[in-house]
Amino acid sequence: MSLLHPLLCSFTAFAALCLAMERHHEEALDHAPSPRRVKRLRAVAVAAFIVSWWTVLPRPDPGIAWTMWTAQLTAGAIAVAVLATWWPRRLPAAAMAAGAAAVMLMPLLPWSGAPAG
Amino acid sequence: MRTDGAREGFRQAMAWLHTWTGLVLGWVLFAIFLAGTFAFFKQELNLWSRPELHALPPAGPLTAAQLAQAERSLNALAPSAAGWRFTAQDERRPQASAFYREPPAKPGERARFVQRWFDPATGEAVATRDTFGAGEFFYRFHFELRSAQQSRWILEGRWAVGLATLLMLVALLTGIVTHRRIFKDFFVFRPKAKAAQRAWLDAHNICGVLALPFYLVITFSGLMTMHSQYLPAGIAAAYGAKTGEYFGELSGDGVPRSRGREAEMAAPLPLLGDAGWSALLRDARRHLPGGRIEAIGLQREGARAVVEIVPHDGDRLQYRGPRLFYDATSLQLIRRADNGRPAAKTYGVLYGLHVARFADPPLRFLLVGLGLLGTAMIATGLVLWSVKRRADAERRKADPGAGHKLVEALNIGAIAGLPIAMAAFCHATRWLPLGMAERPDAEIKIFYGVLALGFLAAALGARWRHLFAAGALGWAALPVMDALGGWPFWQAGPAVQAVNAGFAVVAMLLAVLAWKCKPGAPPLSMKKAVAPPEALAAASAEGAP
Repeated sequence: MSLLHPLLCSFTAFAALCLAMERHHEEALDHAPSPRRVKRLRAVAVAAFIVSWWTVLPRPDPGIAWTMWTAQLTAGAIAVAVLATWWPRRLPAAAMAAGAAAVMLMPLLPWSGAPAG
Repeated sequence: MRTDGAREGFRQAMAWLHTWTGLVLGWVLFAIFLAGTFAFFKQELNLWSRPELHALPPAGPLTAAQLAQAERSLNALAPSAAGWRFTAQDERRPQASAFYREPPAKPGERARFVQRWFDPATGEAVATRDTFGAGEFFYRFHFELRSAQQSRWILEGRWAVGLATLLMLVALLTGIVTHRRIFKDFFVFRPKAKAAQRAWLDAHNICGVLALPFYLVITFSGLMTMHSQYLPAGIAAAYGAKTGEYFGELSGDGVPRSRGREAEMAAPLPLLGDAGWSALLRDARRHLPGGRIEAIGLQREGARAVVEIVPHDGDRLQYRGPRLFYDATSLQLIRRADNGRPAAKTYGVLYGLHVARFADPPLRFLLVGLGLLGTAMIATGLVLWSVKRRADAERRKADPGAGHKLVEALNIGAIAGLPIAMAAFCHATRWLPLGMAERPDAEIKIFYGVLALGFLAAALGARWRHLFAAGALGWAALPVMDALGGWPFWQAGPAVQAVNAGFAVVAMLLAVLAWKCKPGAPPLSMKKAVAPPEALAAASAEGAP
């Protein structure tokens, strides 16, 4: 769990940012995004970034938390770049799957109040 | 820099700087990055190089009985040693080990460090082969281009690495300025672009941008670790000739260490025994709540013997946290060395970030991935230099010239040749005759010899695919050899098997590269850079270096 959950979040966030760009949206879905969709995708990205940060935060050493957060951010961006390059049409579905998995795993996080999984 | 005297913009000036700083020490940088990436698995690679340890069971938690037994073994092995340092077992080192300094055979020679491992079943020291250790060598090569077991050209190597690192920092910062569409092209990679130059530039940009925070931190912190050599003036001004005091203060411990002959003539080290060690461990654990103990040192400080207790580095970001010092005879706590002052702490955190002792396995693999991405960034930058010049020459229907051919051969020799040499080093740690004199030096000679052969082959016309294929074979042979060479392959623990699996993955990566470089492959291999003029113009307009 230490890296999986933030990774799912940052993948979702970067995928949303990527799809908010005209070039990548066209490659994935054959048409340009509407201004409203661009705004919504960016809002999803910001929310997912915040959750990813929240997930690594509760560690004894805040320095290690920041390092892990930056490292997993890079990994999420790389995964999005790989999909956007070779499988652009799979990107929206992959982003939704990752986002859904991240939401479903939230109750398992050790500080969510539920028994730790 | 323009020779015609016309004005040039900031971005063009930075593009020039980026191109030439990148090229001048690009090959050294590539070697530093690749070896440094492997050094993230230093402990595991060192273990792999010593098959004598593979059949041993993993040790349990550190106990006083284990320390007492280790102390007896060390006392029997080196009764005249002036001190020793015991490193406890942990999740990356299945067995405990100890270092001690063997007095020089002839007066005037430097004392030699000896490392011994302990069998967890008996507590006795195990005889292992005389090897530099693959992890230790990649680590040493990474920051001082180590060329021999004993100190030779170490300062020179560190200067070369420091210069390369400084240029890396320059190349990173100028690269950010040069890359005009950093956000717009954040995810853009067009490997099938018509112009080879376009594809290579995309690859270079995407490798550079995505892991930029990692590169900036690793480059800057790398430069900082050697600050006392690169910027000695400040230390000299404040401390004069007593630089030892500076280092003592930096580590939070003001007491100078006694070294060399004076200490060797002193009385033999005291034996603490079961009771002594258990009292010491109990007290140390009370002072370090929740923390593991990484190392225990016994050394002389003037007339008295002192035990140093070092908490585990994996538990915090900062390298070298608080340490405890006990009197070895009275078992009383003498002092606690801890420098929490801002400058020392900043340095400790930067150092800690660089060596990443804190990283658990998932983060460690992630860091290795980022290191490989950085290696790819340097390699694509070097290839881009020659692809761009070849494209220019083809457009002018001119010969690219001798300089271009030289760079291309050096690219092949350095980028595709280094992995072969690294595999050769791993082979040498296992195959060289055990009784050989100066065996570690022979391992290093094999490394440099194979590296030289790679450059020679490139100069004689070997192409990318030949050297990549040779590298793939070399790495693939490592796990096969481990399984068939009569070593305890099946008894070996998960760390050794993970290293074998890692070798297989490296072999596969190199095989894919060799396959991609076959003649007539798509643009991201070395296809001729024939491109429609508009595509090339677009690529150049975007600030291609």
